[in-house]
Order: sequence, then C-alpha cells, then structure tokens
Amino acid sequence: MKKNVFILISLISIFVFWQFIEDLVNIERVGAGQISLGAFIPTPLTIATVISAQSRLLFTALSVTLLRAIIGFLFALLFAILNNYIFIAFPKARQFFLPIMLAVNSFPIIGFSPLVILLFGQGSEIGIVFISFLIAYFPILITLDKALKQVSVDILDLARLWGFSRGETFVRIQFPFALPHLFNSFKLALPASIIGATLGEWLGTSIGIGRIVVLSLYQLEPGLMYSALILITLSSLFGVFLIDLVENIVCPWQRGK
Amino acid sequence: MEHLLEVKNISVQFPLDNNSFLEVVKNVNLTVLPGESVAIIGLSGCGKSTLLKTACGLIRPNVGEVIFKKSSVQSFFGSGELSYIPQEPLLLPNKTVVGNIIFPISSHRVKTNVAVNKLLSKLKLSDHKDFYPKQLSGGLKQRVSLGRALVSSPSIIFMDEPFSSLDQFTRDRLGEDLIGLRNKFKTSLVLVTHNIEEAVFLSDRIIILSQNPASIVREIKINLPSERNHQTRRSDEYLTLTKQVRLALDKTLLLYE
Repeated sequence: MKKNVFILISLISIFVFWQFIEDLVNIERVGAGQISLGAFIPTPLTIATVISAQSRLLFTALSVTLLRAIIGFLFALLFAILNNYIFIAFPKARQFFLPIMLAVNSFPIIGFSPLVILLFGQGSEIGIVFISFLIAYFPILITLDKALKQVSVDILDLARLWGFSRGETFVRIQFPFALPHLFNSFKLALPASIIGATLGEWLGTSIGIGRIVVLSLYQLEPGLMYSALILITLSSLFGVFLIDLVENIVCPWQRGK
Repeated sequence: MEHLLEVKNISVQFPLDNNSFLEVVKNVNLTVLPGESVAIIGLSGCGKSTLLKTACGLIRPNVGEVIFKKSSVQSFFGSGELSYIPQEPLLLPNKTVVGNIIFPISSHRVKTNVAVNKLLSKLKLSDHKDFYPKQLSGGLKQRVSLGRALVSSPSIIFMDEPFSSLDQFTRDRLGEDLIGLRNKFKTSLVLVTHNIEEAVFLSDRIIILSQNPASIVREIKINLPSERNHQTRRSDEYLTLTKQVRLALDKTLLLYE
C-alpha cells in the first residue's frame, strides 16, 4: 500500500512539474512571437479538459481496447500454463519447441502486423486480440518455464514417494512454487497486452484507443492524442496495481518479501 | 526377525556423454530390520546418496533389486510406508508449518494414525504451526521436514545428511529428538552422513562405503542403549565407538588414496 501511495505521489508530482515548466516555456515563446508549445505537447490541464469534454468517446474506446487486451492476456496466460505443463510432461517437446518460441519472441511484434492482416483481415477483432496475445504470451511462458525449472529435483522425488501423479505434482507443488514468479511476469505481460491491443488497433479498426491515437495524429489534435495515451498508461498502472493486490491475496506467504 | 528392507546385490550406473557408463554403486547388499537404524558413511562423492535413493526406490538399479516387506519397494510409493528426508528441508513455500507436515497425507491416498497436534508438540513446533517456511530458522525447517516424514507413520525413513547444514548444537538437539521419535514410532532409519559422531549416535549399525564405485567395505555394530541423550555422547562406549569408526574410515581413506 505504501508503495502505491508513493507511485501516486510521484505521478502527481510529474504532472505538476510538467504543467509548471510548460506554462513557463509557453509564456516565453508566445512573448517572443513563437507558436505555443501546447500545439505539440499539451499541458496536463489541457489534457484534463479534453478528457472531460470527450469522456464518452475516450472511455468507450478505452473499454474496447482494455477488453481486447484482457482477452489477449487471458489467452496468453492459459496457453503459457498449458505449454509449460506439456513441456514438463514431454521434455522432448520442450527441447524442440522452446528454441523456436524464443526465436519468435526475439522478432519485433510489429513485424507480424502484415501477417496478422493477411491472416485475419484489416481491422479484424481476432487480429487485434492475436497481437495482444502474442506480445503477452512470451514473458509469461518464459518466466514460468524458468520458475518451474527451479523446483528442486528432490522435492519432485518426494512427490513420487508420496504417490503423486504428474498432474498432481504440477498443480500441488510446481505451480504454487512458480506462482510468485508468474505474478511478476503478469506485471510485464498485462501492460504488454494493452500495448499489443493498441498497436493492433493502429492497423485499422473503427473503435479503440489505438484508433483515436492515429486519428488525432492525422487531425493534429495533440490534446486528444495525449488524453488517449495517458488513459491507456493509467490503465496499465492500475492493472499492475490490481495484480499486486491479487498476488497479496493469492500468495500470502510472499507478503513482506 | 524378518527383514524390513533388503537391498540385493545392486549396482547403479549412470550414462556418460560418450556412450560409456559411470558405475556409482557396485554389488551392494544391505538389510534393515524393523526399528533398526543403519548409518551409511563414506567420503564425499562416494555414492552414498545414490545408494540411499536406490534403496528407497527413487533410482532403479541396473543390476539387483530392492525388496521392502517382501515386495518391490516402488509398489509402496504413495502408501506412506516410506519416507525420505533430503539434505535440504525443501518445504513448500506456500504452506504453513502444519500445511507442510500434513502435505503427504493430504492426497487422501496416504492414511495415518498420527495425531498432528501431538506430533507438532513432540517436534516443539506448536508455537510456530501457522508460520511460513521463510519465517523459520534452519533448525525449525528441519524439524518440519522431520514431521512431514513422520506424519504418515512410516515403517522406514531414509535420510540424506539431514542435519548437515545446521550448527553443532542444533544438530545434537535434533539428533536426540530423532532418537526419541524413532523409539516412540518404532520406525527404522537409514541415514547417510559423513559425520562420524552423528552416525554413531543415531545408528545401531554403521556401514562404511568405499569410493568409485561405492561398495560396502566394513560394517560396525553400535552397541549403545536404544534410549540416547546428551549424556550418551559423554559415555565411554560412545567415545570408543567413535574412535573405532574413525580408524576404520581412515583405513578406507588410505586404501583409496
């Protein structure tokens, strides 16, 4: 909680500093007959005004983007856990597929955009969710794989002695062990999935934060563009805060780490 | 009296990269009576742990067999008849002290007649029963590990240098508690250690292993009373036996240097 209050204070400080500096620069620039800096970088107060005036448009777009991101994230989580279980059950599959997956991960996701358009069509919902999935999947997969590899062989031996099946060992021993690591990966993967959904929306869609960013760029509306970007950033931060909260409930043994 | 455990002429080989094999254990025969404690000692890396893991069925021997209560030792996995205490306590970080102790019997396959509260009290863990492992000292963790091994009221406990990471005082106290618990539960112990004093104090018989591959070179009977405490460590018999084992081990060392 203390950490979150600190983050909030930092954010407010940044906004206050930004407003103060920009006001100062704008007075100088306008006084010298130059165009106000606000034409490129709006002040926090301007952004707040735009958010209030365009709240319906912005929040509708935000909810659509977040929904796409969350679906992508949940699919990423599901597939990463499933993949890791397969890797444990069939070590040969891990040897074969993991290097391929790491290679795909090192490829910039934006490079997949043409492929996604080709596969799912321009502005397709599935395409956007797919990009969001792809960008969130690898951090979860790799972190979980590493965490599961850290489980001691001796404890797995004990599980055999206790008569646990492979599935039971995964669910009751390996997965709980990896859970804190998994939550750490969520803190990377959730913002990544939101970026993925926004990125996917750039490729063409009728609604979404990505769409607003692109439109406001072409229509030279920096206030709207910044509003959209700030809302998506705050959503990411809120998502990370929620993950922290859930981690505290799900992993009580990690408290005060 | 009928043997509880019979290790019949086992040899264990591990495959090496260049299609050859490393023989770690060679032609070992070993029997354990009900309620008997056997300590296996030898130099570091001589194959003690491999022999122990083979004796409890976690490693299948390339030659020979391990018989427990007239059946294959593996057929007793999940029955609670066999317990294993690894070198590190390896507690589940997500379980409290009680959660860790009852973990082997929580699968509903393993039945027990041990009252958990009594066990906690015997192990002097009652005040810590709701603590998570990271809140415990090394000695307390090892007590939990001991409790987890005893909870299913096993006929035999295999211990792989269980107190090696503890200070001398804690190690001695735990040793005394272990002897008390062994006498109460009538459990057999097979203990691997490289500590001569510990081997003499905890066992009824000491087996000295040779190196590369491990095979039995000497067996020493420990004629100490079954009830042992800190005074036992000061007795003449104990000191004489310790000296005798040290001499035997020195001879082995000279032989294989």
